[in-house]
Amino acid sequence: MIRNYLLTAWKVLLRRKAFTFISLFGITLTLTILLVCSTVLDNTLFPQGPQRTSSNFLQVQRVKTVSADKNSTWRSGPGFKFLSLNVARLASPEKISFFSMNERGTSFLAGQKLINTIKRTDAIYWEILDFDFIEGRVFSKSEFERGAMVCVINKSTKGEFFKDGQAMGQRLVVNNQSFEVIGVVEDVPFFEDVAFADIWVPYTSSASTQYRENFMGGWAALLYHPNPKMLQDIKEEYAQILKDDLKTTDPERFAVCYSTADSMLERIARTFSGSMDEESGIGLLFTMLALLALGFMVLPSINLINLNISRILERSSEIGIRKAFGASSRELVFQFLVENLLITTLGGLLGLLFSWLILFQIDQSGLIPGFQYHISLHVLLYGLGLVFVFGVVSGVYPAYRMSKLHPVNALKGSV
Amino acid sequence: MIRHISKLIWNRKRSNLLIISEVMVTFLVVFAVIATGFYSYHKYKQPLGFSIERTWQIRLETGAQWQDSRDRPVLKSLVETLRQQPEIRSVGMTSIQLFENSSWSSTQEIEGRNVEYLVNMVNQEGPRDWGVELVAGRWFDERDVGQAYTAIMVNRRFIQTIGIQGDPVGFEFGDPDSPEIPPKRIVGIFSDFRQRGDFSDLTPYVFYRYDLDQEHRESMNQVHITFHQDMPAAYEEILLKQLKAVAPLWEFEIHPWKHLRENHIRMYLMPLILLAVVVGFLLLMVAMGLFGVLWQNITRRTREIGLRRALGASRSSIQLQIIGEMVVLTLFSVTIAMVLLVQFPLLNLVPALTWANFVVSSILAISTMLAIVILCALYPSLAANVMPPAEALHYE
Repeated sequence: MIRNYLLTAWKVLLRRKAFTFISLFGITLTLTILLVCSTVLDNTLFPQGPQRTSSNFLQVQRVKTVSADKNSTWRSGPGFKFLSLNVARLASPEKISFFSMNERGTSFLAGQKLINTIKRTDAIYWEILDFDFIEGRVFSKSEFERGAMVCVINKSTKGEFFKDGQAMGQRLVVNNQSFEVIGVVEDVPFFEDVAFADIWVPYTSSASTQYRENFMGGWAALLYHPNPKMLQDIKEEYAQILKDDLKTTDPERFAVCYSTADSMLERIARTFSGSMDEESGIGLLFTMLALLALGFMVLPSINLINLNISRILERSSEIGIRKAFGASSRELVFQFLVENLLITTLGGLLGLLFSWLILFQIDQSGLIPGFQYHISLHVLLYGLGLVFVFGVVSGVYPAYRMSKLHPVNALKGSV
Repeated sequence: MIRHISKLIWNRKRSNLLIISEVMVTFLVVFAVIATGFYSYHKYKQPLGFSIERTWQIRLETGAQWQDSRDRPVLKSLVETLRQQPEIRSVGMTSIQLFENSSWSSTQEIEGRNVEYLVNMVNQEGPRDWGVELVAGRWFDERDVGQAYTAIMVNRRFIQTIGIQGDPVGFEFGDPDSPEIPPKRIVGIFSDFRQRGDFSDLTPYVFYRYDLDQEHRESMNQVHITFHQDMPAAYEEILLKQLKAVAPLWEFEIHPWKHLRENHIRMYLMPLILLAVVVGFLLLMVAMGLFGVLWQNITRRTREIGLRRALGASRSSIQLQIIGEMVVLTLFSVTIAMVLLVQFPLLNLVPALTWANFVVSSILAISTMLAIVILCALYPSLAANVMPPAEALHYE
């Protein structure tokens, strides 16, 4: 039966090519835009780069402090002192890594200024994140401990400094410090902000040790455990320490600290909800995203409903005959929904093709550094969901209108 | 004529209802985009209030939290070193960086009104060196040292916002909650200083005076150098070496104001352009959809049109009827949307949507919608006339 419906639908599509084109244009456009957005979103929520181990680690990125007189609050990243006094004491994570938030690095090459992003890390950072090395290696524990002037750079930075030549073992000068290149990795997309940088150096190589004294600002921590189920324990232990056993440099100014150890998703949700307590607002984030997608579909849906009604009324004599031979309203609604889903699926396939082309273009243009599109299984599933929602939303009302046609009128073609 | 058309529309209200809602939603989208564009343009047209020529910003990354007793002397020697360079005409400072969305804002009750304003700390000569225009009063000078009041300079919008009676120069205001803080006295009024760039909101703005020889609680992280003539980018390397020699533990980020401004404009326009492209495609989709629906409707009304032709209606009057129907439909949808939209300026829900913006955006959006609808109705209205009346009357 469905085969018959699909055949009829196909014939109808071919009969009025102009209409089919107009419908397909709208569907393809809508789904392309939604698919591009969801691919970018998917790559943010489920990273494919070095942060693909994200189900095994938590991040400490935000701290809010309240002074003893409760008059001043301060929100920023944690400082190195805060991390070494409090986060370093955690017993439940298997590995703990500290790294600086991105700094700008300035270099001069034959009078040309190069601006790069530097991240200062420890050696454990490289064990937690899964970088794709093109050549060379990470810096070792002993190199980290003695503050060796070594660095890992990404592919584009290698291109900037050394063109096509050899990079390994060469030196490059950033912010007046000279580092030896010991490794080259693939570019990291900017939205994987824990991993993202152009140049990675041991934080022990800093010219000054003042950073060690700052309680607030500029640093972050990763807490790793091989078993994702154990992450909940880490969260609880961290909350416990901050609540009952906070160590602070200034009991007046930093009397109380609020901070959480978050998974990727929770951290993204927090940037939208602004929440600093246990409830990160993941539910809110997903509700908002779904509402946005639906809101965007309103106009295309009305447009498609309008078109569908016109197309159905054109077929009123066909409907009249089917009704006269005893087809029920429900069967007709079902038939029309199948037809509409066929055309939305076609639009969806075209949309997939176009979004792939667009993402490929973005990738090639280098507009977003390190951006690598991955139309993953996730995105295909979203796509399928979107096609289904769109097809049903834009098909139900016209189908209902059609099923309500009176057979006698429908046969005469006067509606 | 309009009454007649309205009757025809009413008779086909069910199918027209959907067209009305489609036109209405499209109108709302078009209105939103035009209003955003108009507001941005309005802000862009306002003068920056200072000259970006030949000036570079040096951002100081001091590594640790600012300690006035330790860091101010370093800054002082840094500024002195820079002042000795023959290429450099003047050296200034601001505590908040330029062309960034960061700001230092303050809210205070003045003359019984809560006023929110942006603050920046500048050195005494800074504003004059950057071409800020003095409107009334005087620049900061040595007379402001050791007074019982804190000298401030404010922009014109600050004066307009509080609406001071009499001469604003010399006006003093304090914080009623903390009387121990000395009151602020306006010593001068400048036209504007739009620190956050061309597309930033227009706000009241206040300068505090920064003195390298006095203690300050706040950090000072930006030094701005103005040259006698345009300098090549390569000069930055020489500059950086000199800076490092004075303050080896600090990092420096150097950008010409011109680049900062270009970057600000690009960052602001990119999402807008993206939005405009998407909306452009949406409009194309709606236009094609409307075209299809109209075409279909006309085909179904072939007999009605044949009858009118047979009774002597001219081609142009039929065409007029079809386009007229669409125009009336559009105006009807737009009216409903306008009833909703007029609430925004009436209740001042979105400050950006002023009456001027509302009127201009309405006119532009309505014209856009009419143009789209008429274009869509043009071909179907011509097609309606193709069939001779005798044939049209038989058409099934």
